[in-house]
Amino acid sequence: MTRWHFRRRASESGKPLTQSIDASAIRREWLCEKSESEINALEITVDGLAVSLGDVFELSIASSEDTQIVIEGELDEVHGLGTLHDQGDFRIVGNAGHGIGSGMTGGTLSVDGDAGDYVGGPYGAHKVGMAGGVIKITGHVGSYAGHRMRRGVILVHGNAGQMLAASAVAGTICVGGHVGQYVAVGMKRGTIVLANSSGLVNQADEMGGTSSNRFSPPMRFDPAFLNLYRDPMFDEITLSLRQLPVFRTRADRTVGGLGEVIFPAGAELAIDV
Amino acid sequence: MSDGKLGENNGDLLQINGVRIEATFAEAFDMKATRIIITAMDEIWAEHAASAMSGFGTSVIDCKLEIDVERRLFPIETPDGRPGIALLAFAMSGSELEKQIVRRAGQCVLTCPTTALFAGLPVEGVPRDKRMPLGKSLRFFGDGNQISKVIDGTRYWRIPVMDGEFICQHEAPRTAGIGGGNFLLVARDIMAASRAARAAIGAIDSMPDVITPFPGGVTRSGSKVGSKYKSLIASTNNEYCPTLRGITNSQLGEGENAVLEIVLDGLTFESIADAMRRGITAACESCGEHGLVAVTAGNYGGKLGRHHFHLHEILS
Repeated sequence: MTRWHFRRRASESGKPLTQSIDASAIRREWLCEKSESEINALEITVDGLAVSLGDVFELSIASSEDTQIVIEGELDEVHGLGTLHDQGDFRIVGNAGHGIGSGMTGGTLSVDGDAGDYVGGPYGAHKVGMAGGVIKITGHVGSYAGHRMRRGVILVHGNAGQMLAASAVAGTICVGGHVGQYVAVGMKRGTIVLANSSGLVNQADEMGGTSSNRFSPPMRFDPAFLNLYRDPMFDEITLSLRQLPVFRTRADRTVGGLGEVIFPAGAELAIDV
Repeated sequence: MSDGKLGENNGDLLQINGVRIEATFAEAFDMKATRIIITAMDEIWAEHAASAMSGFGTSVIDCKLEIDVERRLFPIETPDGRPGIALLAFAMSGSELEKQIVRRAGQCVLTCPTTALFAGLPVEGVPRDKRMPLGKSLRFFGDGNQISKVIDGTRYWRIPVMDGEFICQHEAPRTAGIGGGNFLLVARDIMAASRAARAAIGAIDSMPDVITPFPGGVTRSGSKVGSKYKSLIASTNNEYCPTLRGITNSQLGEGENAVLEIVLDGLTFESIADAMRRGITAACESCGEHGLVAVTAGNYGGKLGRHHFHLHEILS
């Protein structure tokens, strides 16, 4: 097995580090067939211009027990990391840009920090988002996390922005912090687990009760299947669900959806009909 | 039918606590096996489901499946962290095993309050044609409302039922097993035979990878192959029926008035051999001076099954 370690260079040809970088070409499947020099020569897009990967990242390759890709440095404006990731670990040390884990099909993508919008969303113009694997984010995520998600798990320790799981077809998203507006809009199937239901309450309040058009009346629910997740981060995020009564609402009814939002006591009255 | 000549001096004597161990062997067959795990809200519901699932599962002769509780599991040992029970099931073919397990799961576990059903053998790396459907078939009971979850590469189904959800693993692997390991406890009377059998089962009960599928782990109706009636494939074992002494060829001597048999199915040769050793030893030690006269085993001359458990080798 191989470990590819990319460290973002402190400066790129004298330019400041605030450039927008499309790093979606860094993929395990491609890396494992290439030599170090070929990888360094890979063209990626920086502010719309083609730049060699080696000019932006310093690469080191080592043998490893597991397949591992590690990216670290100033990554806030580095987008598309973990795109189409299929197996092994893809670790991002620091805050990541938008579109991480796009079209991912397997393996684990972890972020030691925050991530931008469209976590686990579709790749490019594809219609379906993440289709497998696990994304773990220790910080917050932006809007549209799990957009059009089809399978897999997204764990967010912090807050999630607007449109969480919008148009999701299946999969599981677990958020430990607050959630923004329009949770589960257009969601057909899939599971959202909210450890903190206050975001859902605020949303229902702001919508003046019309949220019941999208959500079914919350019902007490025994989420026994959550016990099947043996990930320590999952256990940590869902601690409140083991300590409080749990409710479930189905969403999004406006599209005939059979998705579900599972949350601890607190939000059930706000979104009741 | 046994080739062991009870009461004869065959020049190969072995005794445990005064109990004669015959120089014979148990003959066992290749079978297909699987392990399933039933969990529930508490031990009581898990026991009910396991009891129903393993009912009418004593012998493949007419039950088509030999199934019994392997052991009780602590919550920490089960996939969903609830109390559970592991069962082992054996059948003569993969297709029969598949047919019986899914039927029983549907009627005995799906129906039992608060239960969930999981594979007890690792699925990873098992070829698709060696896997049996569990939730793969049972999910249709959800009538379209069932929910699939793939967790750590394993698919589970959440099927809506009246107490919430029935959680069921998609499929369970099957593996090679061995059925028909056995030993016979020959005693002075039924009280002694019963005590010896219970001591043996007590020693075997907690052992992994092996089951004793008959009621209480014991059978009194040991059988021989065939019958004078053409429709029967098995009939009573004349040679060990005390009431037939004098009218048919008998293996029983004077003062040998009751015989009970313990049949064992296991995942490996070693697990059965180990269970036989422990069971026989426990029976002899507890009843050797209290009516247990001899221990023998049933075989078919070595012509039908390729697994031979020689009592003297096991106990030496």
